[in-house]
Amino acid sequence: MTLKLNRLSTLSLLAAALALLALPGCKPSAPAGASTSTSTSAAAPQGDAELKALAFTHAEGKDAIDTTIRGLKARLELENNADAWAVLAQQWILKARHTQDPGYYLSADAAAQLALKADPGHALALGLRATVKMNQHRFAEARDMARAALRKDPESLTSLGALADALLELGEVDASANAVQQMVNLKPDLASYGRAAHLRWLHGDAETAKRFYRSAIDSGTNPRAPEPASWMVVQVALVFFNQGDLDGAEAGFQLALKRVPGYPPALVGLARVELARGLTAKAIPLLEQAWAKSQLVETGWLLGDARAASGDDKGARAAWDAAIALGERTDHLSLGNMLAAKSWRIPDALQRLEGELRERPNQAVRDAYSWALYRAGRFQEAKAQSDQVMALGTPEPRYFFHAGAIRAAAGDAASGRALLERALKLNPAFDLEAARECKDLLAKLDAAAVGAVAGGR
Amino acid sequence: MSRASRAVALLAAAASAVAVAHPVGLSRGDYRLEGGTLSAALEFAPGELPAGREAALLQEGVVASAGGARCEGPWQVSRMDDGGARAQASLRCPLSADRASIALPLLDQLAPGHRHIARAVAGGREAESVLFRGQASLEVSAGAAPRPSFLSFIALGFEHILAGIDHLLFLFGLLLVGGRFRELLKVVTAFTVAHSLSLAATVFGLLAPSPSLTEPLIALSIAYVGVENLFKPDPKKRWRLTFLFGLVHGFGFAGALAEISLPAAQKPLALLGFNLGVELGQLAVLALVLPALGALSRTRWFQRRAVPALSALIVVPAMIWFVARVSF
Repeated sequence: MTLKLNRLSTLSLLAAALALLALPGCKPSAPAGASTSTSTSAAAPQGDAELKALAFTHAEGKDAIDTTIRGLKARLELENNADAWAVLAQQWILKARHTQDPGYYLSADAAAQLALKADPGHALALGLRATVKMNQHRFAEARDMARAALRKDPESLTSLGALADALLELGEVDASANAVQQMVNLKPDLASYGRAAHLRWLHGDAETAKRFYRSAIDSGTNPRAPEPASWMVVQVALVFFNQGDLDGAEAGFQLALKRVPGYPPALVGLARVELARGLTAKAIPLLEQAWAKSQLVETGWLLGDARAASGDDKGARAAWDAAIALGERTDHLSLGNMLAAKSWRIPDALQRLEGELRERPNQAVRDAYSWALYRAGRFQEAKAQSDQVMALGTPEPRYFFHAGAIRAAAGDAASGRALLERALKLNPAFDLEAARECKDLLAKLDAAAVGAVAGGR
Repeated sequence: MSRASRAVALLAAAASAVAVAHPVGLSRGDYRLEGGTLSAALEFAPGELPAGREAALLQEGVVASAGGARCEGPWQVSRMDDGGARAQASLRCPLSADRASIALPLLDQLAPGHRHIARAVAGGREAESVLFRGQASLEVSAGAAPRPSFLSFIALGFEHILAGIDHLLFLFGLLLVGGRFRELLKVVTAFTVAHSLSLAATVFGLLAPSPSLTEPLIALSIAYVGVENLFKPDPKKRWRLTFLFGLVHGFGFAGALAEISLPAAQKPLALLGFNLGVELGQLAVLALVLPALGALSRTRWFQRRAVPALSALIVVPAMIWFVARVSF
């Protein structure tokens, strides 16, 4: 089956925007650690004993993943075996996703490293390390490891997936599409269809994206590991949301929650739907639940917005402060995005986003940077960045809003107005504050146009 | 690699597409109990411990106790060249203490996902473990050695049956209608033999039905038993169907072992341990349920009212599981 992905746009410098909840970016800060023998803290586990401790982190849950992890531990106590270490790494990756606790990626990485110690050429372990690096936001390392793994096993879906994701983050959209095409050719399944769907959405083809997401979900059913299919359901629900179909989006988020109760990405998505409907009181507990389970800058930011909209200024401040503190430690992209959106600490936002852009020059980072430049009054620079964001044609209301405001400020009121209208046409309530600002700006542009016409008379 | 392992690899591949994650912090702690003193040395990377509040955070965030009393002592904190922090303390515990408990509420103050590698040393024994939010305590003692793996497999089987509410509900449904001891024994034996056979067949690679087939079938078997109970089944013949359904449940049990790619030489030992654990768990449940059912079944209201009502109740979750397992 050919999905024509390798004929995607040649704008290889532009990268992917991950949907609203995807990969809240952060500069890959070195994992903390400490050495007793140096005056600088170590960046990684030291020695086999620490790797084994991380790989054997206690999994006390009762679900299938935990049972398998405990079984693998018992099995690895019988014999050091590269395959078993690699399977353990896979299980930790599944657990990290299921629990939304990124700490389990350290366990996955440790298990994959132990697999490579047992068999230095173990292709799956290399591919899994690439997957972990991807999730630790070490994109260049992830790309290089995935390529090394593919030299050992050119048909490894794990490695191809990690390579496609890393390339997308690094702004190499065409190369990423080629990797996804290989995946589809090898096995059209949850992994390949899901990525193909995301690429189609990035290129403005929302209908094909939805069809591919459907195929991904249909092929990915596994009662023992429901999270990956639930993630796909959340992704397609976000496409519905971006198109302003709130009922469709709600149905998707509810389905994901039915399969993985308390699933934070679905809770946040559902909260966005409620906020778009003006039902702030319904959104707040959903966001509080999501924040309690998985602390992400975007969740804290949205919780603050929802509380502010309900008149709880103190609660809003607390949520925003928590999001900022978290962003300063772990997530510079989301923090930069938030600061730019709120016109807070713009020099700080610019500095963080410039760093992010150097690390991963993709569409989402470029959009955030363009908006920070706009807030700083650097309209021509903002427009240059925004032009690249818009080149792919991604139907993301926020991109249209930013692009419209930037163009208007740069002196092109007509195209600015058209883009602002497009944002609101896609979803009139795409974001509490941004949609309001978009409407205000449009009203100002209209008033200015009326004034100009009146003045002309 | 086993087929199951490959399947999981695909899930991992799918999963990473647009994951929600970020870098996480890793710190270390060395905890040594000697002569009633717990020496603690902790190290953190730059940005992990807020500057200026380190000593207070550690005082409140590292709670050691022994013999019912808290181990006390001041913390000394220094900064490393890269901005990381090193903290040390000699905490005085009761003199006779040969074990200490350490809790780290400090981990709640660090970034989500933070992992703390703790090395506990006491009585010449060393043990390393990983602490994080929700699992932030450890014992420092010269106690027992780690559990041998055969016992680990027994524990795995025991946990598996106790966590497997669907398997237990199936068994409960079978026993609910009562009968003579000999008939109940035949039912339980049929279930045990059948699931042991299919479990072994799966572990040795003779059969490997997909969970997408066996999991809905397990749900259906429970619903069937519930419905059959309403029509007063013949207790003497019930062991036959139980045997068939037991085979299906065995495939479900095998899921826990199938994905760990046991080495051929170790399979018999692991299978024996796991199956023993399953049977022990089953016996533990039976020991609780059977006497209660035996006593209740002598009353007419139980036979006339409670058995049909409970049987109908069994069908409800079974059908919910069935729909969930086939529809998503």
